Amino acid sequence: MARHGTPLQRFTRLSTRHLVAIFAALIFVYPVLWILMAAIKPDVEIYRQPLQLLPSRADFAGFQMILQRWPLWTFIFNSLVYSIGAVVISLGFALFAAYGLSRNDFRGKQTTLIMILVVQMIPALVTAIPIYLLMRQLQLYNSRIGMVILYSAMRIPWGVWIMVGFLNQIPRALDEAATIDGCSRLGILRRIIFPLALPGMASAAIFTFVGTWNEFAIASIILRSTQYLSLPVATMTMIAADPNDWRLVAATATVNLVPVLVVFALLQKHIVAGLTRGALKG
Amino acid sequence: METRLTRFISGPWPFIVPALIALVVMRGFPFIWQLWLSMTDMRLGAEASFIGLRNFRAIFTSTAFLGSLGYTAIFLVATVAGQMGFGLCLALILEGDFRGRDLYRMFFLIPWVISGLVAGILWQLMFVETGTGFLNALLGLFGVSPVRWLSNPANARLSVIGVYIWKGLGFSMLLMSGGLKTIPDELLESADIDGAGALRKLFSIKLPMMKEIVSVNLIFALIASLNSYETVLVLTNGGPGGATSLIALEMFRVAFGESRNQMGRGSAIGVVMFAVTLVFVVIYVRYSRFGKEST
Repeated sequence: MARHGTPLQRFTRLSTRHLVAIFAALIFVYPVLWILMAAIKPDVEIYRQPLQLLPSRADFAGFQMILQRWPLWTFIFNSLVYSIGAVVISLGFALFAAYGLSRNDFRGKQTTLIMILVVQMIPALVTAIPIYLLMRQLQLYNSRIGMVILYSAMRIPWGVWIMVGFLNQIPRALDEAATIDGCSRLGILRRIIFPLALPGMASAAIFTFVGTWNEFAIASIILRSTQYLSLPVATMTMIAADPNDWRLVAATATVNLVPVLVVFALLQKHIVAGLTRGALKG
Repeated sequence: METRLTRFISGPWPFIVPALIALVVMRGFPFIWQLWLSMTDMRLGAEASFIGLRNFRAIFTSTAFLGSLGYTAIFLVATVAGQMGFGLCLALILEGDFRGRDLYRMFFLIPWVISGLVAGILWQLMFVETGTGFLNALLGLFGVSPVRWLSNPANARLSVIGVYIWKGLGFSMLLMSGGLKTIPDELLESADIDGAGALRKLFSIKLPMMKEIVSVNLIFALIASLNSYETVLVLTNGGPGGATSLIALEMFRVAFGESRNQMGRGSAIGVVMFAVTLVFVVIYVRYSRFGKEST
């Protein structure tokens, strides 16, 4: 854009751009910042001075209150189990499937890919009721293992698509060379494909992790007992118990937010790459 | 001699089948089962019997469902247009290389990475309706009296739409940025030489060249909006008086809401959502090159 014009024109153009960008960034970031700060504000300040962003002193009473009343560490542990379980299992299945789909040309390949795409694009939410009934039938309702299985299955289609994209970029000549050297297909997958696909798998893993960490709707109907609740479902329960205690609400939201924000800040590039691939290249 | 079995084992399928089984059981089967459920009077703890299309007749004559359908339609158009319009604006702001661009992009993406549940909680606190709520206090500085953001039906409808635009904008921005990057520089330079203004370049060169990515964005945003659930659940739970009841909320209410347990009727709503989503998906698969690309 701003490649020409007098220096003054270029300067005004650039500063207008920054002004607009800063204003937009404020709208996007301020509410998040506000709640993070509210979580550590002394009680009075939350209610009395809503416009004041920074707390006069850090006060962790909100977190202490949650820890006293709720098994917060259990919720965090559960969410980690569900998210990491889904990452490992779904990507494992997806890597195998993507290997089969990317390394061979066969009848039904195109149909299989399209079916997987269609399943990927239809959110599980529209089948919340049959999923709930199915989980009851399979004795997987209200259980940790059930939640891991369900989340893993929900993430497989996207995993397959992104992995096929990555594997297609690895030349088939490598496989052929390995075959001649007497390598079996599992050996090729382990020794050649897996190491080369690792960067792709990393961004898929991060993306899957954030997605499952944030998931609420399906978990809210599958999990019942307090000891199995994922953090988002527990958040809803905790807030419903004390809806008017803003400090507690802010502290609960903060517990949900911080891991996601940290992962995002550190690995932004991978997440963005994962998203654009998932949506665009398939 | 190759038997069928050994041919199968040496083919690609052994690698693909495990994933397919998981998908068929956990994702595919529920689609089919829901079709059946929608034609029964299924309730937990009772025999289900086939009742034909009665659930559909019931939902399409229920004011609660029709009301939610109406708001969902408005919501869909407003959020998708808002996300795509503002998303394009942000993508244009971030176009080209300049210092701080990556930082801005990260900020713009934050609402999109946080969970819908937390987004609902944040904005619920922003919208607190006494003078001490953040937004009302802000408006108070300019002498505006407190606004009933969520308890007045018309305001609530707008507030919910606003929050969803805020939440989903980053995704559109990313796609549009990707689209802008694919436009060859020479094209824009020659337009500059011809003296085309910024708007002219946007509408005559950039947008037409991004047609494909804009349609991808449109489909994905439509599907996401249609299936909105948790943010509005926290913000209004469909209230006041059903004004912001989105179709997914209505489905959950009918099936899982306090002692309602109408799995059959809820499934009928699920089938409607499924059908609409499927239309979007089919359009996407048919008219995009993505289905064919990886051959």
